[in-house]
Amino acid sequence: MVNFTVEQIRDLMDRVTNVRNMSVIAHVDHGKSTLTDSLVQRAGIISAAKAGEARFTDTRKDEQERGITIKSTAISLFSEMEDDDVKEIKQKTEGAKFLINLIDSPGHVDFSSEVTAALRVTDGAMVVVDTIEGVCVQTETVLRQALGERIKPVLVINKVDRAMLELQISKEDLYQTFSRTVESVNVVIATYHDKVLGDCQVYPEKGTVAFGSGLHGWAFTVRQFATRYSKKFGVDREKMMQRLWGDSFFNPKTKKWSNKDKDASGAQLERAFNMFVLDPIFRLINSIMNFKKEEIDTLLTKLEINLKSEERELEGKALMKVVMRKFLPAADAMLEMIVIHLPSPVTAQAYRADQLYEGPADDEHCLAIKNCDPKADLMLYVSKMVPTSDKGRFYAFGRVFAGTVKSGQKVRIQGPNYVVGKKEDLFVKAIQRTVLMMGRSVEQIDDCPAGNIIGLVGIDQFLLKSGTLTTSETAHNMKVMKFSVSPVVQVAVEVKNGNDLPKLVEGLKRLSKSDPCVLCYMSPSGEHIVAATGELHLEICLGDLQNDHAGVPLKISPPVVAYRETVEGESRIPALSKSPNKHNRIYLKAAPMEEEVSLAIENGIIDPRADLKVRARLMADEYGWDVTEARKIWCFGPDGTGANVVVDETKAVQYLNEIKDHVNSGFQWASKEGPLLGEQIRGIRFNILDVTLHADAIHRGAGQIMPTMRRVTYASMLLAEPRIQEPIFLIEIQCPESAIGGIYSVLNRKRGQVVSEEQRPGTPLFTVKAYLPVNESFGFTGELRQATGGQAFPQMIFDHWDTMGGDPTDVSSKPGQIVLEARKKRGLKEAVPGYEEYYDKL
Amino acid sequence: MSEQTEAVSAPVLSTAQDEEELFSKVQGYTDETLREKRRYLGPKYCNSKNITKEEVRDIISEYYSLDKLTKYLNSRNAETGNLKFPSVSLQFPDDLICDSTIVASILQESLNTLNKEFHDSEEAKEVKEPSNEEIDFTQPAKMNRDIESVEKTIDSNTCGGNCGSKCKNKSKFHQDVWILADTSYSPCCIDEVAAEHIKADIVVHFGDACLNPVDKINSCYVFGKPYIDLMKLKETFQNTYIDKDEKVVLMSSTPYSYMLPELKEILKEEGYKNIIVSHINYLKSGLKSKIIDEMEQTGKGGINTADRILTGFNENDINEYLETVDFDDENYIESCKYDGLTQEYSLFHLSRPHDARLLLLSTKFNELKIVDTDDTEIVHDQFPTLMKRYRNMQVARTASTIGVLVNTLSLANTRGLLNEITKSIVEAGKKHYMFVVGKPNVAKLANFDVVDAWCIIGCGQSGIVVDMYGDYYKPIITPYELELALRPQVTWTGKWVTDFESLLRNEKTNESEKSEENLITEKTDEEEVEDDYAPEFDPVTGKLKMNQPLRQLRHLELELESESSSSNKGDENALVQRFSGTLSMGNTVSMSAMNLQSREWTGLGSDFTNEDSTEGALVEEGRTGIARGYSGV
Repeated sequence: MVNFTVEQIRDLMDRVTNVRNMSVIAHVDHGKSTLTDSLVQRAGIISAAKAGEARFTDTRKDEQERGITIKSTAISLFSEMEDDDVKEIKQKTEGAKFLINLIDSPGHVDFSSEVTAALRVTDGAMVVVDTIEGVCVQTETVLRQALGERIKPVLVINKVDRAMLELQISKEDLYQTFSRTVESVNVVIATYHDKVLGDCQVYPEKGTVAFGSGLHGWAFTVRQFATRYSKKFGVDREKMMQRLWGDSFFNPKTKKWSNKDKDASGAQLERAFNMFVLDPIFRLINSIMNFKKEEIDTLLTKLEINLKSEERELEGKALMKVVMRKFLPAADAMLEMIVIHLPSPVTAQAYRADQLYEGPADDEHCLAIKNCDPKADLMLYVSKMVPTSDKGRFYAFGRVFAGTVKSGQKVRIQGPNYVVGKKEDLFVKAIQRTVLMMGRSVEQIDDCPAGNIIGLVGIDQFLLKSGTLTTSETAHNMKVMKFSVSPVVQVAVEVKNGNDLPKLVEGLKRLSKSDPCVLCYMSPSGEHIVAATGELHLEICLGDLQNDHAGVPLKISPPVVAYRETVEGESRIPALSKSPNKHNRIYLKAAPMEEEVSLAIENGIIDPRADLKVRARLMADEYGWDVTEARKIWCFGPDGTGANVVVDETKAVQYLNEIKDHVNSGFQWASKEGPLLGEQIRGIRFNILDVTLHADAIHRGAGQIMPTMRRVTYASMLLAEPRIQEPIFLIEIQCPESAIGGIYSVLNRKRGQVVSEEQRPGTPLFTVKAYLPVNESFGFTGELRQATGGQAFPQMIFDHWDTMGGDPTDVSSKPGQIVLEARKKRGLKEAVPGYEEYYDKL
Repeated sequence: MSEQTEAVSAPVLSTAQDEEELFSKVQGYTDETLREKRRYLGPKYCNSKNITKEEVRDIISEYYSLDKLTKYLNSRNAETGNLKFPSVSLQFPDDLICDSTIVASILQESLNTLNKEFHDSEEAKEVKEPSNEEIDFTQPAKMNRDIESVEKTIDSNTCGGNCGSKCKNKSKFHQDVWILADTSYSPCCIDEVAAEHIKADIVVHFGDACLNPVDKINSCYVFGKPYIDLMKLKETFQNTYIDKDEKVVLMSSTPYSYMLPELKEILKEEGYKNIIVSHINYLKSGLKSKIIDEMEQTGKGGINTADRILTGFNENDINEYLETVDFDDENYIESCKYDGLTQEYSLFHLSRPHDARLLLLSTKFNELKIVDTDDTEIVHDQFPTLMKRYRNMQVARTASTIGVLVNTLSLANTRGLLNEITKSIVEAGKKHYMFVVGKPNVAKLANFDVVDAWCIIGCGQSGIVVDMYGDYYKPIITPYELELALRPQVTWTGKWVTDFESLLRNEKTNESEKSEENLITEKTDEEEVEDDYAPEFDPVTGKLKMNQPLRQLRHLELELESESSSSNKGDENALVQRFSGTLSMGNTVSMSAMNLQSREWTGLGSDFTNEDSTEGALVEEGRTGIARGYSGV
């Protein structure tokens, strides 16, 4: 029975202070979807019996089959809190009814982009960590992303049942495990902390950490126990919370609290957390699992748990589930954390606005976002596309940051390349319908005010993956999302039957829409390429393409890696190229750019679209650039946003500004396909030293300058020790000690590099972290499984680009081989051309 | 830049060409440098060190069959006795231009002799009416490549027999021989325009030719009979094809094709059974042209493909194959009729064809072996691939602006094709601009950065630019590929058609079908009209792209109106409407206007607005005098 109506939800949307937009994020298999089930069950959408197993938010067939989440799924829940709890909320609220817009996100590293898209539209995050596995690589990644988006986290430590039942861990050990996990989460938070967000570390004693078991449907916070005991002890709840965590001990004899673990006589005292919180749980579970009937009954009466007659018949695990779910319902603990500790849109947008909006922080739209004003011009960010049951059409899924979006409303649809005042990437179109996303289904609503998450019908054809919707002509775009992963693994796809070609192209379009990160493009040699973040992602994408989006049999090439071209030194001599008519000359030098700058450009910290002066200031302050030089950056490339810059270092050249556009176009052209193997250029700073131009405008037109800029770019690179960069995965493997030898031998074979090897305290498990070239990662999982007898399973995430040692023009070297092969495949001349090819003598 | 100051040279004002493209100077008859160039004349010329001028003339005369040519050129109208071709122009490709002077002088001399004979016999016949003018037959041959001086000669009224078409006698007793300079488009085609400049009556085309029909002018082809070592060729063939049952088609550029039957005989003796010979399709050149040294076809069962007639097939095979061809397929193209059959054969091709033709052949045959005519060895080279063409076609699909590049003036149905193309571009809602740039090169085409894709109309043999290494800024496609690109659904046939005729024919049959379809689909169109300006997914970049600017027009204008009405309030006093915001001119959208507006540089002075206002500098006295005299920096 669904215990709320769409009208109720719609009502709450207007009371934005009572809305919580939150995502559930975690490492793969730490139990996000399972925990989400508890919340969904509370809302009456699925039955209590199924909660924990249904995984309601895993809507796709393959998600259910594989048991992993692939797409993030949103659901809106209605919840009513106790007045007592409402009082504790430190931000403005109205009444005790709350609307929770929850997004369950995938945990596998390959689908991090889904997490990014989810985080953008939410204000808070529930981070789930496995008690036994602790903080893993993806936990760190998603936390970092969340903090980067100024999302406030709360923590759920999940799978406590496993620690208790499987490992038979003692209370104190469990406490230590909890405390370590909390600590390592806090370390990550501290590392990526954003000042604006204030203190966002998690504290069990403040109620921002919950412990529980998603599978069994129970969870608790210290606050819940504090509430119970505060009455009993007659102590203020706040004080009680402090006492129930950390080095706080209770001496039952003296009935005194102490912060030492020994009493005056030197006898061991029990930790308050263990005594008051863990003890009842341990006792209850023990008695049930050991079938001690009488003990169970006394405990049940003591804890005021009433069972129905048929439930009393149950035994063992089944009984434990029912009892625990009644004793400590998971939904209660989580709802309490979410409602009390996560910010409402009003609170969050106040500090998120300037980071969300591309335009100036003081313009009316930015202010409207800050105030979460439902009466202002519409500002809506579409973060992803959700497939509808109607094949090929999508819901645009996003969040209203300002204004109100209505069915039938005419809006401006601004794609990622839109610039205020220009026509590019701009469409005006009416929204057909606005819908509420409810997991598998949708509910139609008429409008949706600022602060809420919404699905839109009828605008999907105008946006590829994401974009900004507004009603104002002066509004800038909302900032484009930056993904922590990069599509570095690619395959070429081809139809088996030529007549299916149109379906393939249409399928590629749908695929690009349905996934925030996948890239579908065409190689210069004319193959359709699908690029994804990792093998699993690729597998899922190709499966979708073949079975769903295109629906035709495909020929798929073995996976290959995308490379980048860069330089290691500065050009030996200034490269000079003359225009075809020999009247114009460009002198250019290439030099490697600092990796931090490249990363900052790629991560959007140095934003090519930002205001010139602001950007220059940032580059000077943070990256040690000369301000005047930073201001003279002509362009970024490739695609106008890549990690290469052209800097004008000329002095007093006439007509120079006139050729800027042509130089830019020429550079975009050149940087997209480098001279070595036709891959993108990365991490190079090009300094234009001098330019000679013909006095007649007709002789220095686009046709003269563009090809020249391209040639001189190539020449300068070939003069500057060109190198190729390959993508590197960071891999994390958790395994028992016995498997470590096998891991090392596989890593050695695969050019892997071990970064760290640690034992997880309190467990026999080791965590090995290593760098592995993506090129070597194909089949790595299988080999690892073989070498370790199936005990090691790696998590691989794109980490960085690594410059390969060795001259790529030398065929005997490893990069030389790669270059040669790529050139052959692309139908280029086999040998890398010498710089003379592009260099003109004076 | 210190290096910069060293060499100071006066600027060259014409567009520079690649060095290879420049004509090498004609040194003379026996120049050493020419020996390399004239390999085709064979060992008779190349190996004899002290060859005399006369011998060279004989060799060249023999090579080009100048006797036959002279006879043809001297042909007269049977009734009036007037010369058919009083003004003769000779067209040489770049690699044969070294022979031009010799050929011209031989022709002129022998024509003069023939004309004198005729004049004498005429005189003898009509003693009563002696010609009152002496005709100077000793006039040296015109080797003037300068059009201006030609016109001068024509203008001058002194009749020496060389006063052009105005002279009455000329049409009877005198013929002028001209060498056409620098062919502006593909050298395999007849250069109609250059011939028209001197009002020539016939163009004699030397060397490799595509035999595309010409509308306006008479033409005559001389392929020449280049030398090649047949024995060595046989060896190369044997090394290439070990299996004697191998199915091989012999083909060559037009000059070499005279020896293919001979080669086949030799190979037959060696035991090769499945050899097919290709013959030049003489009929293709049309009624107005004559081919000197026309050869007879040998063998039966000819099929017509790739401008050649292939003989030697088994009739049954052909009939069997034809039964499998689906003539009603919408993608059926006449010129690709036999592709399925020829696909079973590999091709042994003498001399390396131009890239465009190479690509065409590669779609027709199983495997290509190209023999270099200089050393009779197989060429190992990068051949153009059809995959790249597919990519180009995809780019054209999502292009907003198509540049129609006319790279020929002489092809018979250029106009018809041009009209077809522009019509279908407009129908597809794209913008097009038409260009004639002379010989296309990277710089010329890059000047028009508004163009998203070029469609080149040119001769299939060498008039189509095939960009193998991505040198061109924007892709260049053929009309056939454009036709595929403009279809509403992505289509790719794996064929490559350069033949306009079949394309035009196809268009016409489609046309009639389409109009019927249109009647039915029109109504449904209107319902979806609102979504007309939805962007298209570009599989090349993986982004959405607007590709139908013409359909967008209405939407843009609506928006502009609303915008301008709001912005105009402020400057009601403005006399001229602000142009820079206009995207449409007349009734059509202007892509170049859009392009110009997206530029950062918007004209003089625009670069000072965002420059920071640093303190002004003191005025200094600069350099004076002529710029080239400056020294130092």
